[in-house]
Amino acid sequence: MKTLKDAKVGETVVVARLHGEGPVKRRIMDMGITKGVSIQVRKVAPLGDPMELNVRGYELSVRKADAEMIEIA
Amino acid sequence: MSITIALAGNPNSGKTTLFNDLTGSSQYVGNWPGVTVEKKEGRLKGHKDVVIQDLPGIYSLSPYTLEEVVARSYLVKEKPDAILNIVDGTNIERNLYLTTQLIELGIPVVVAVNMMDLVRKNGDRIDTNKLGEALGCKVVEMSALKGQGSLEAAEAAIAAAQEKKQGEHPHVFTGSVEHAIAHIEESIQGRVDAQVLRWHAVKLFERDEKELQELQLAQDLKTHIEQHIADCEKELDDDAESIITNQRYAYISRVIDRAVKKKASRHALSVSDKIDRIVTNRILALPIFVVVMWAVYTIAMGGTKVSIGTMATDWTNDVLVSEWICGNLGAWMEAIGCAPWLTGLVVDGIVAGVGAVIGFVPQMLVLFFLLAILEDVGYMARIAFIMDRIFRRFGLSGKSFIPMLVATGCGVPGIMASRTIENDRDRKMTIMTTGFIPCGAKMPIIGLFAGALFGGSGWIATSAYFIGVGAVIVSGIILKKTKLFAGDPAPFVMELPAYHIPSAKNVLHATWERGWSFIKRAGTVILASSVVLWFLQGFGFVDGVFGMVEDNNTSLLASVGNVVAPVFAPLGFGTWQGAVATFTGLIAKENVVATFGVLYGFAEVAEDGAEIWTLLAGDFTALTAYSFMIFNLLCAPCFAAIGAIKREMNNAKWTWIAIGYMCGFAYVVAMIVYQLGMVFAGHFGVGTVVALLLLAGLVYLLLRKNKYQDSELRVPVRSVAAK
Amino acid sequence: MWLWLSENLATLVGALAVAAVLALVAWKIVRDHRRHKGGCGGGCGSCPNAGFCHPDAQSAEHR
Repeated sequence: MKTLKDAKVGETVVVARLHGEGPVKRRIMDMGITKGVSIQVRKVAPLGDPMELNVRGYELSVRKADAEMIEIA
Repeated sequence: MSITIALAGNPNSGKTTLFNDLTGSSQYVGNWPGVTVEKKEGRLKGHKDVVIQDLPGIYSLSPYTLEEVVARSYLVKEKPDAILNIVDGTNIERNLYLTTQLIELGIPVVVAVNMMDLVRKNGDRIDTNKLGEALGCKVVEMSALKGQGSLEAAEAAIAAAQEKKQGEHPHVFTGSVEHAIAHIEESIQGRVDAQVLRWHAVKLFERDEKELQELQLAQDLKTHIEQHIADCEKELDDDAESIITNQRYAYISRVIDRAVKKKASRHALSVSDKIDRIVTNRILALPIFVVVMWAVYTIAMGGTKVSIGTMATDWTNDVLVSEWICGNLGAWMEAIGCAPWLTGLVVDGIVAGVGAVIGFVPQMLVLFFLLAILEDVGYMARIAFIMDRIFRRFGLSGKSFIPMLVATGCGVPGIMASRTIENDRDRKMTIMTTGFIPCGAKMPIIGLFAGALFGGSGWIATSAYFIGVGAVIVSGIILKKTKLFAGDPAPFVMELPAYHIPSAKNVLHATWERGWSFIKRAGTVILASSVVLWFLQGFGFVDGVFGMVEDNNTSLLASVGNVVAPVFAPLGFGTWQGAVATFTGLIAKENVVATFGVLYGFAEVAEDGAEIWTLLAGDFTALTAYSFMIFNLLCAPCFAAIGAIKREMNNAKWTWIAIGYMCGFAYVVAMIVYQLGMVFAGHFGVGTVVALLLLAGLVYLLLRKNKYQDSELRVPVRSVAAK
Repeated sequence: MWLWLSENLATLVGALAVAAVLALVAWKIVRDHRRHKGGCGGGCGSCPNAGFCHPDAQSAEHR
């Protein structure tokens, strides 16, 4: 299963599914990361975490652990 | 008949600017009862009977965070007459997500698309009419920062409130989901107001915890509803919450297609991005951070050619204080016949103490100025981003870093800023460690020793800053492994604003504010303390007789100080002066410098303002000075900050824990530094052994296995928002 | 007595001046304390947590 964590800087990926549950997952969805949305990976911070993404037209930073919950196509 | 209009919108959408615009000085700020969330309301300018209620910035009406719960409780229970929804036009999709939820509440909604000036600059076009049609409510344009459109938006909201007509509910949900929701609506009809029927139904579909709690439905009703939900979930192969969210966004996409034309490909790199590629680069980011802070502290307080701060301070000390004031004031007072004790009080007490502190004002101003620039430019936000990974290692999120940024000016607002952290444990830990960051008041201590014993090197100040940060990190690691603080880090999802040219107005304003508070404190608290100190060190018992003393080593203060001093002996500064200075630091950290000023007769020498440095150098060595600095840097903060800690912790036990921890940590670190430093000077004794043991203990606490850490990814718990 | 007064006038005036300043300082500190003004002296306009330095009975009763 490929997740957002595996995406490289500059890549644009499409979200297949969200795993996990509860507030963290809800927060991620509230921010616009839902099934079928396309995400561009802008940057990855030093030490690999967090990741900065472009989603629905704005910049969002997300932890790698959270990115693991986002399965991509 | 008074009308209430609620202001709702995402954080950073310009809501605060709008609120200030609409209410001016008539706003009341307080907090929502029972929770630590700020509550603002005010009257609309020019309309005596219109109340504007500001709601916390939220992304959605989920039941997970305090702000969201507060906002939705208000909207559902208090039912304002209209909602003015601020939407950030440059971010419109995500902002509309909240909009769809607000509309479901059945209250008249007016959408104000803010930042239209930026939207136009980007080349995008938003058709507010089409948008309004698609959403089922009125949409207006606004540019709050430019002051355009605010009042019109409010007027539109008033009109909507007066018409009392709720818009046609837009068709957000489709197919079997809409079907299920309609069913749920039927089932709960009559139990809730018709106006909010849809909202409750949707929330029930999402299995919203708070809803279930509040509605208290009968068991068979719940089962019935559950059946509908389960059917949908099976059909769409997803859980209820996700289904709703997906559908909302799908709906929003359709709306956007109709009403918004975006110009640039949203994946093009902006200037901000190009800068960030270097600044937040995996390898370069941390070294760049170190260099930036070093540059800041060197320019402000270092000893090099570009150190404007120090040069200004030197001038102030040498010329202003020493020559003009001390030399002349003393002579003048004698000339007009003032008694020597009065002259002494004024010159050796007040002027010495306050002068020592005031001398640092130029350096402080430069420091505050540079920090304000970094903040305004947007660099500080990047730092939170960079530090998040390090912080997360020990269970804190980058969100905890923001209070520490504030604390570089003054610890009090830093401690109060910890309120934004929802997780209770994280909050307590942040409060406890924010005091480690060198605040503006501690800087004179550093500056004084840097000048007296380290040749004015800028590295002293820089190292002090990073020792503070290091203390935070080390504390975090150690504490997270204890039972009291163990637990998973809070979710950290953060927006990064674009860089922008610092606004001169903001920067100068911030600099002036901090600078002025520094000066004000010097003229009040420090002044009073200096007078008291002067008495205590100028009077004592000599041969059983109480009177003025020549040598302050025999003074009252020295007697008291000598009792306490041995406590600090293992740290290298077991002198009564050091002990007394440290204690006066509790009143205000600048007092440490003021105390030295009074004790070492700052005012005495007319020509050479640096005389105090020589005297200090007589009582302290480079090593003991550094140890002294570390102790004062890390130990309990001033009374004002302690008061803030007490208010935030709201609990005496925790306040003492915080203070005790800080003092204990300071003591241990200072001792280790001093004792191990002495090894290099060839001294090895009991102290060294103790220090080594302590060091070993620290290392153990740092590295031991965390038995409270989940090895799994994280098992999210349903109930959150601890309070 | 007048002799003493004239001799020590400067001291008296000076001492009174200092006492006045101290009284002013003390009064200011007490006043700030009563008004719950934070010790940071920063001025609440720019402080993000201004909500807590200015609790208002009126808006709290909104509930």
